[in-house]
Amino acid sequence: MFLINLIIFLFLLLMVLMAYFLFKRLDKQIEATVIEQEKYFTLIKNIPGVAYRCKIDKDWTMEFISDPIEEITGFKATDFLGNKVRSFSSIIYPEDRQLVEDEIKKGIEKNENYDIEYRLLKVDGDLVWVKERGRAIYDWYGRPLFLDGVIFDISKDKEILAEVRDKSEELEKQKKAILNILEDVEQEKKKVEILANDLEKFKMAVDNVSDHIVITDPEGIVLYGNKVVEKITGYTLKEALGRKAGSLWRKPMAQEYYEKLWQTIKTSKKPFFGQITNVRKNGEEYEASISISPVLNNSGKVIYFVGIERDITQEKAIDRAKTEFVSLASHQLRTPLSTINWYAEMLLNGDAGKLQPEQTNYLEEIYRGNQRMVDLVNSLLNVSRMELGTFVVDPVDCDLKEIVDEVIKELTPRIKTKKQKFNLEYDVSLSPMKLDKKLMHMVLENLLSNAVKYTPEKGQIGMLIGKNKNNLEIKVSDTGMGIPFSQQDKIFTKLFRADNVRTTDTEGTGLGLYLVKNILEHSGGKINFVSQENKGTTFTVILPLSGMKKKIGTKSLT
Amino acid sequence: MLYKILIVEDEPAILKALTRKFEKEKFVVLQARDGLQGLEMALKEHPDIILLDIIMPQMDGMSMLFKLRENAWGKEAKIILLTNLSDATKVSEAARQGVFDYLVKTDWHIDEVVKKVRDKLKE
Repeated sequence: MFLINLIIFLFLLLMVLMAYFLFKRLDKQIEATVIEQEKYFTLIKNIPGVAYRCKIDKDWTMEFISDPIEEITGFKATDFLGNKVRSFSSIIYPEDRQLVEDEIKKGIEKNENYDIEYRLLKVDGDLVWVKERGRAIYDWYGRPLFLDGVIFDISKDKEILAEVRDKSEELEKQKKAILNILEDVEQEKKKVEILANDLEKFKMAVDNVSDHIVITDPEGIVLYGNKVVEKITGYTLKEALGRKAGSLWRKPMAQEYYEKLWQTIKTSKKPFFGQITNVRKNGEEYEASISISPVLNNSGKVIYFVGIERDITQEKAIDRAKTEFVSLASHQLRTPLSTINWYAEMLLNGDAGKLQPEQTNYLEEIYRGNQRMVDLVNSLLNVSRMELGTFVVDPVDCDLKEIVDEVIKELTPRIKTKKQKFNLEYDVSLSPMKLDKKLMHMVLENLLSNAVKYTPEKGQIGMLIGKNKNNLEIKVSDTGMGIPFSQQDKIFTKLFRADNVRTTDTEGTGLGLYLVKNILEHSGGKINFVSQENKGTTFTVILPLSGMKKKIGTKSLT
Repeated sequence: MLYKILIVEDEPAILKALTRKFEKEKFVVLQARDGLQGLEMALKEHPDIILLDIIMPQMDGMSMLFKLRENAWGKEAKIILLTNLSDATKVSEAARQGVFDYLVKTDWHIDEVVKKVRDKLKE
């Protein structure tokens, strides 16, 4: 019995001891658990998000939810515990609730983590983007008991993302735009290439033509010169670029020449044509024909000048030789013409005995024909003297009226024959002036004889001589056949004769008006006209009241 | 009284025409075919007037004029230049030698040449 009691006692003692140790251990365990738990709490508190454990129900009833939920939503964590104040489900943005449910369900079924991004409603009514990651906890039988997980505020990320998205959209747009531009550029490039090819061709053409070509800015500063510039002038392009065009090689010309040039190209914006003397780098002079054209932009402003020059020394020499030949030939012709003239005259005068009427008649034809030849030869000689620049203008004081009367006297028989009415108006207040009598005579004689010649019988011829401002003005008018409008610009051209006079009068030489214009231009005068076919013509000669300008030369005109 | 005229002209046809004309006009006509002959004849015959061509072989009209002016008689001789040239330089050179008369053959009627000569003789 005792033994049994002892055994029981011992057993009980053992039990007590065991219980003691058990409790002791349990206590320690609890203590450890608490410490452990606090450690976790601290840990949980410190993680930058919300930790939770919730039931798997429609409210997602919270068993635990960490404090940062307040930071994110403004709602206290304790509000959610056991749905005390509100359920967690109630703060999920309604549109996202289904998504949350579905994703969690999927995670539970597959025993996998779920990751969801969704929106929560904040206490102030705003929305906040969160990211939740969690996993279900199962029991021994594999039945899901809870969800454990964390929720992070990703609104910042979202913003950044949105920003990034915006940026990338923008970038995308820009990229597209750039691509478009690139495409355009590509097309443009092709165009430019074509253009460049054309330009290259042009440049090659311009570089290799035989004329000297210079492009300048509106002030005349050389921007471009072709190879010929170097070849002709002897100066290198390096020397010429950046300088005033022609400053290196131009032989100084009269001020008036330059004034006219600039007036034409800069003010009137028209091409200028002229002849000029240049000097090569080696000092050799050469004649050049020049044309300078303004290049205008859309608004009509001069942006460049293009100057083309050609060395015409050779042509000039040939031309001179030709003129000299004409001069010599006409000169040689004059001696036999004089002979014919004088013998015919002597015969007509009866120096060799009285002639039969028919003989006289024939001889008169010979004499007239010869006289025409003399006139032609004289004109040709005058023209050649003009072109050689050798003729003289030698003005002396004289009374214009005397010359006028002389010319009228010469032409009166012809005016009478044609029964034309002639009217002279002469301003008697005109004082004597410097005139080259012979040249003035030639001018008036040509104009008046043309008027008589090209005006039908009984027509009217007028001569009006007076002052106009500081000028002497001589008008010779007729009611004749006129100059066809289309040919008016050629009327002063050497050897030119208008169609209408060519058919009616075969005697003209086409030299008269050319001579007249040249005489006037070399003596400080001018000539112009108005004309209407079959109505008449009026030529107007203008000279300074002081008279003609002197011109030094070696030959006078006849 | 009969005037004595010397015509210095290389062109035979012209010389002949002028000779005939002046003979008809009762002049005593002396002929020379170039400046050298002309000068010699002028100094020997002392004509009342000389018609002098400019362009001639041997000695041209201008040279003859200069030579003539070196002579005492020749200094005052009446001279009309007869030419086809209306050559301004020659004319002004001639003017310096006291010759202000010249005529261009083609521009003048032969009767007018005679008239001009007569006018000159009256001076």
